[in-house]
Amino acid sequence: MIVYENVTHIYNRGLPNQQIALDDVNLRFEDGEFVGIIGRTGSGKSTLVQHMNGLLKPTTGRILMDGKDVSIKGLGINFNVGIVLQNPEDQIFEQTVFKEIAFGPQNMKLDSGEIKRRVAMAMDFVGLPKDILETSPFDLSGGQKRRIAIASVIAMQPRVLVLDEPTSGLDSAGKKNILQRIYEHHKKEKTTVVLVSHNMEEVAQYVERVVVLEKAKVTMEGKVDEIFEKPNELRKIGLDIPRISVAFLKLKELGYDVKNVHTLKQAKTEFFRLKKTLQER
Amino acid sequence: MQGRKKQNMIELKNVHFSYESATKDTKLALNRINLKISCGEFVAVVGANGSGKSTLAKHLNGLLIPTSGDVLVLGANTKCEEDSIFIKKNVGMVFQNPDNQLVFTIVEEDVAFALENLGVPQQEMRERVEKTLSQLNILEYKNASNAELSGGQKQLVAIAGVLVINPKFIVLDESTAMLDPQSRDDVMCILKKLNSELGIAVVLITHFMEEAALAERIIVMNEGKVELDDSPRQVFKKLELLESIGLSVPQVTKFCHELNLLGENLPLGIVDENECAIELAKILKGPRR
Repeated sequence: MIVYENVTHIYNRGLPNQQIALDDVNLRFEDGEFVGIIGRTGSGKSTLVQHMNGLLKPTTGRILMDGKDVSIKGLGINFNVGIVLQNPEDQIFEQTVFKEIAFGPQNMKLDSGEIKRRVAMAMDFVGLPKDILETSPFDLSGGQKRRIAIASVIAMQPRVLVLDEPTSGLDSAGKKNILQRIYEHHKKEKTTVVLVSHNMEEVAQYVERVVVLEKAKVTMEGKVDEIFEKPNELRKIGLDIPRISVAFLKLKELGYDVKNVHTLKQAKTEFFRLKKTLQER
Repeated sequence: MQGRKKQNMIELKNVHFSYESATKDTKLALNRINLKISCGEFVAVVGANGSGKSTLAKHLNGLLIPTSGDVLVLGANTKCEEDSIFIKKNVGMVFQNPDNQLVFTIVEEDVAFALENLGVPQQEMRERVEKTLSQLNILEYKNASNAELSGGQKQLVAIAGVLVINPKFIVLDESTAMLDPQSRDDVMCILKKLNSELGIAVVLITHFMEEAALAERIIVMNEGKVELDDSPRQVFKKLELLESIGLSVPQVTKFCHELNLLGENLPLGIVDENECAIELAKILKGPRR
């Protein structure tokens, strides 16, 4: 379990351009949860998740993992929490794809056989072809860099997987595949997943619980269906609801007694339920 | 530019392009592209990763030169070095990763960069920078340092840096990928406004089908070729084809399509939530008597 206790983070503290990125945040992430973090750009989402493994340290407050303060650990490297940064170029630095993905496992002092196994597993996970092992990651496309960044974290098999907008820059098929794999991995290994996303359709489909950030503060928190029940509040802070939800809200405005829906599956069920009720009348 | 006919479009004639590669398979990134994009158009370009859409975008202002074939920008060939400034002034590019585009530390300086290079007077420069920043709702960051901005905010600054020179064409290479829904809507609104009020042509390379649906025309790229080139409605009717090449359709389009497969009679290619609701209501009411 990860607990944020009164976490405040201030960039450029004491300077004229001081900026409060997190303001007294209190949160709890249970083991095995799939949590979505949504909010406008600049609301503090990336800052929030980078505290999870001590990549950033709180200005005040603390973050506890299983009761231990994560920022006290001298080296600050926490193999339990793997973070895929928003921009893959911020985390890629090795000369070859193999070295890049093997970097984490190597630091975990795994033996070479296990490292190879982990690299192969991670590449398969994100759908990278084997023939690019010796290629420089910098020569690859944006979509492939994104996959490498995800693979290099997956290779460490962290207990907590943090993904900061992991699918931006991927095409629709790639998005769906990677999220589906992450979802299956979460179900099978009981990995905690924290997903920062702007894609409300993704959030509606995969996430159990949603945390809404607005101007450095947590302003809403709840089950995904509860959060999307409040489209007006979300719109007020610049967020959205899935398009299918919008269509069904319009249907409601047209005078039909429909429940709110957030996924295609829910929408189909609701449509046929309504059709049946109307026919029976 | 001698002897060149004045044209009001970007024209790609038989364009082939391959990235030089040490390996033996030099795959064609662009394979015989013939396209015309006219002044005032609003075009979306979609395609899976590696389909060639970014390569295509980089040909539109001469960042890449065709291996064979020609790209003519308002009549000027991108192969012709003397026309390079003319072309870059008329075709502004905004990239995927703003960190590769921003050069200065302060927002205002960055946006003013191109104007400074063009020798625009100080007073006018200030006004244009402020106007552009407020159009994008980022005037409050005028004096901020780029390093303090989030990814989405940086992208807005990069877009401002291009908008400020008032180009005839603006090409956005997945520039909305990192924005939140509100900022994406804001950018789309501004692009629509620039297009309808100032007649600036917009070429939007995007992964967001909802965004592409707002264009007048969608070009679908697949393996270096133009697979489809049509209105959004016509393009999104071809759901199976799009999915087979790694693409998707807007969520309501998908929904209507699935209902169709389940025997409901809905028109294909619906992209708008309102229209979707109205069509659903028609079915629920039953056939008109």
